[in-house]
Amino acid sequence: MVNKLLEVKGLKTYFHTFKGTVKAVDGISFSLNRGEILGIVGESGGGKSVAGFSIMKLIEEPGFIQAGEIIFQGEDINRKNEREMKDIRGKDIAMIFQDPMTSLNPLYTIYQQLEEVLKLHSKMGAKARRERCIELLNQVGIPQPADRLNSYPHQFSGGMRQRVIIAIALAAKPKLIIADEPTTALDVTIQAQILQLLKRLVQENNSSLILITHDLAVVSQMVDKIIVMYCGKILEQGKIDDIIYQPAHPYTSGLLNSIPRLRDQKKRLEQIPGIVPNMFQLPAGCNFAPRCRCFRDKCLVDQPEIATIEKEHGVACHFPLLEVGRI
Amino acid sequence: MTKLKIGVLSASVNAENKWSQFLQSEFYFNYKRNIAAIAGTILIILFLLMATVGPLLVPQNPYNLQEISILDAYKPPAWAEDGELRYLLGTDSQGRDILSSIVYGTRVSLFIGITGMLFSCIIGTVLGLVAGFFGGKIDSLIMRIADIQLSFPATLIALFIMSISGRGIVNLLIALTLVGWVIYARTVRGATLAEKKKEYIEAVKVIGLPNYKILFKHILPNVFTSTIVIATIQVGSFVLTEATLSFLGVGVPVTRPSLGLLVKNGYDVLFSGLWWASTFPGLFIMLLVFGINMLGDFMRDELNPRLK
Amino acid sequence: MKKLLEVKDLVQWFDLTTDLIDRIKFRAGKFTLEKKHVNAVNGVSFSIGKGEVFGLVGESGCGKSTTAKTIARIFEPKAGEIRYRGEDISKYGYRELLPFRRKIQMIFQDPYASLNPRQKLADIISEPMLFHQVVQDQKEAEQRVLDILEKVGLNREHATRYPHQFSGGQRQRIGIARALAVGPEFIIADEPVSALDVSIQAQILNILMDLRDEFQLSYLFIAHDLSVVKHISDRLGVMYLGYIVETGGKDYIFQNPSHPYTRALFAAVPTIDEEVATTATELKGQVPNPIDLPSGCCFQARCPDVRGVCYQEKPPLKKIDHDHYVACHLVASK
Repeated sequence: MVNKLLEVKGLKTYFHTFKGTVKAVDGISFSLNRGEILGIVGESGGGKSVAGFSIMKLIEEPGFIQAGEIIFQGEDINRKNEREMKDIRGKDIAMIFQDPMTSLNPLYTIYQQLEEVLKLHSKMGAKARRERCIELLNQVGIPQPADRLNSYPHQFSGGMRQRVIIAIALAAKPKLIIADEPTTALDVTIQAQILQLLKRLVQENNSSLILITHDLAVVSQMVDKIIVMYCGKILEQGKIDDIIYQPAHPYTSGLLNSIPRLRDQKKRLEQIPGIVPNMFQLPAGCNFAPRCRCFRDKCLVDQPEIATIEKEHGVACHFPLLEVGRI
Repeated sequence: MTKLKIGVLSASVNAENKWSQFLQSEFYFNYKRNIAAIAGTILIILFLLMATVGPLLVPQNPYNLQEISILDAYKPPAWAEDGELRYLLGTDSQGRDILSSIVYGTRVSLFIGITGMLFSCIIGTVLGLVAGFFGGKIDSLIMRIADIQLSFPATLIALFIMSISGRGIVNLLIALTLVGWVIYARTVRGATLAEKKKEYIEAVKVIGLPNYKILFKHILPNVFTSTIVIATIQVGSFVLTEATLSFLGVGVPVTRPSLGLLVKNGYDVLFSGLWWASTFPGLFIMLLVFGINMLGDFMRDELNPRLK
Repeated sequence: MKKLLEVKDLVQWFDLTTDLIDRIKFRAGKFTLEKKHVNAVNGVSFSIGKGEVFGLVGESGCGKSTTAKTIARIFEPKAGEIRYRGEDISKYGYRELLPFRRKIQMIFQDPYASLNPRQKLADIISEPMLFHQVVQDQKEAEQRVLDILEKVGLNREHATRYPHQFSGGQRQRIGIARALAVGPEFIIADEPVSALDVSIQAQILNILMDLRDEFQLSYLFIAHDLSVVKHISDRLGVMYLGYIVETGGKDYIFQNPSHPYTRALFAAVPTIDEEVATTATELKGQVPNPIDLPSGCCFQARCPDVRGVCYQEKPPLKKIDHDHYVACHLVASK
């Protein structure tokens, strides 16, 4: 398919620590089309951030990409060396990090930091670069961009910094943006601004976006497709409406039900019992079985593979929730 | 201090358990693979053995006049011409065995290094805790004194104090403590400032615990790690400071010579050909400080959260 | 209803310039001494009844946590009253406060920083008991520790472990157990679930509600997540820049949010419910600096309907319904 921007096949990223091997990402496969927004949700330790970093090949020791292919625009990123990756990072794939306070260098003005990307990845002259910087800041909604160019990061608030980071990410018109919890450190009202901005800009530039977050509500407003990760594996993936309204995996359904809703009032929240298993001692069967409300014997011994139940809706469960069982 | 001894509950946790936990820890894992740290430990253990049981093994007590004989003076090391096996590293101008002198000198040097470190550590830690926890005027006072002291070289201060108070082990310990507390006070104050903002300190405040309990039961155990590294390296630096002072003639009394004083004694006769009388004590100072620093460097890398 | 806790005009600020040298400024040709304050809480009043949950919402920096920690007397209040069962405890010293420390306990936000890493679980929970002599001896303490552990969903094997051996959700249970140890009546919960995973949040919220039913507890519940506050509280206050801009019964506020800030806050909450419009009016601008407070309404800089009067006068809290108060010039009082 021409339309396919990114295809990840059987990606495995392991961390070899002195306590043993952590299978942070354990055989995940998904694909992303041009202009699409994909959400990766999961709890902490689910491997969603590692998946994002693996696509950028930013995994550091003791972590290694063990196996799998990351096909970006028809080429396997996994086979590229560090020099080739430097050209891809920032130009074709950009990343937005969680913490706006630490992802800008406090010693340089935002103009210097923006211009650096343009210097690296474009052949613009000094004047054109300056104009492009102003245009970028304007795009991300920073008032009086020409005056603020020479400000230092500490002169901006958290929300404004995240806008600058988005501007830097967009500078080289990347084809894919990976945003790792871009709004977690921000306030609710600022979060709404940033999410709307991100969505609008991605659509305007015809880029694709991978949004990594723990917040299902954020995802449901933003994305076209969802991947639900748990302990390094994909439990469920599909179109947004399928996942939100017809979750087939007990984990997805449990997550959805455990969120207090603004609209309706329940005396008690439904809860998923137990805790996320220790990554060093994962269960033999399904990773979620010890917390599942409808596990059977098979779940404890046999690890389920992801299977398609509907068009584009896959679930890794021996006993996916049927229509009647859905809430 | 109330320490809960839960009988049934704590039955499973005993010393053996703690030891096996240590053997499984990351600290031990990295330690096993660090040759410098292991070499440092071996050196330190050898020196400690030398200081404790060493005097039983050497041929003489060099400060017992009945055991030395002037006839044995100026003997070179055993492997040289005229050397005797009994005096492995030779003898000095008084007929004292150099090796025995070194063993006894190590005792003095290590005693001064370790005791000076302990005093510095206790005083510095308490002052640092108080300064960091209470802040305000008392903090300013303690830290300004520390600043003033840090603006003079440590050896100079010690030299100054020793010149006034005169030779002697107690005077030396006082001088070293006055020089050494500052680094603990500064480190512990910094750690206390960071620690007291944490929520578990707020939690015990809400419980209503008095300040001294918060300080010594909750903050101290959590800032103590940072002093262990300093303490290790300080033993080495105190051995050196003491050697310097003794070499300059203001350190330990002549009746209890440390390694430093041995170097000085040997130096006085160095040009009459007795190279061994100052070389070997000097070599042992170097080995001791080297061992301590190698272990200290490893611990700094392991225990410093900023490098992790 | 008899009020358990009443807070009246509570004020808290922090001195930014603690060193004398920092205070010396060169202004208009001469040296002057200046102080810089962060005005965290600027006259906050509310009351909480027995068995009631009062939610305090707002964005970071709005002073909600400072309010909580001032009531818990981690910080000394600068002005105002804190009445517990009618008794003003805001100026009490260490000894006078001790009996109230038993009644007012706190649960903290960060499950990793709120437990002493060098204390065993049993010691963490028994320490407040033994200190306040809720129990007479070690043996009784041991039994009570086990009872409380069971209440928060932990068991006896956990008692001898250290905090680092637990996950975030389990640590938050330990924090709750520590607060329960002295048998309090009133618990201040400072964002107790915001650092936790979604599936764990529900567990902790359910425990808090079960405990309230069992022990008739009252909560002051601080949160930035409106859906959580809606779920757990009976009444709530919305804070902005150290002021309460809207307060009252939950149903009044959620059915008829009246302050422009409350409305914007509600609209900004991401939700997976269909009915809520996704293109809500988003709030422009940033929260102003609490060092130099604006004169007039605190929300003037971001308010979509700002008028002349908003720049001159501070709006007082006006009653607009039975249990519904709003501080806005544009809302008519009843």
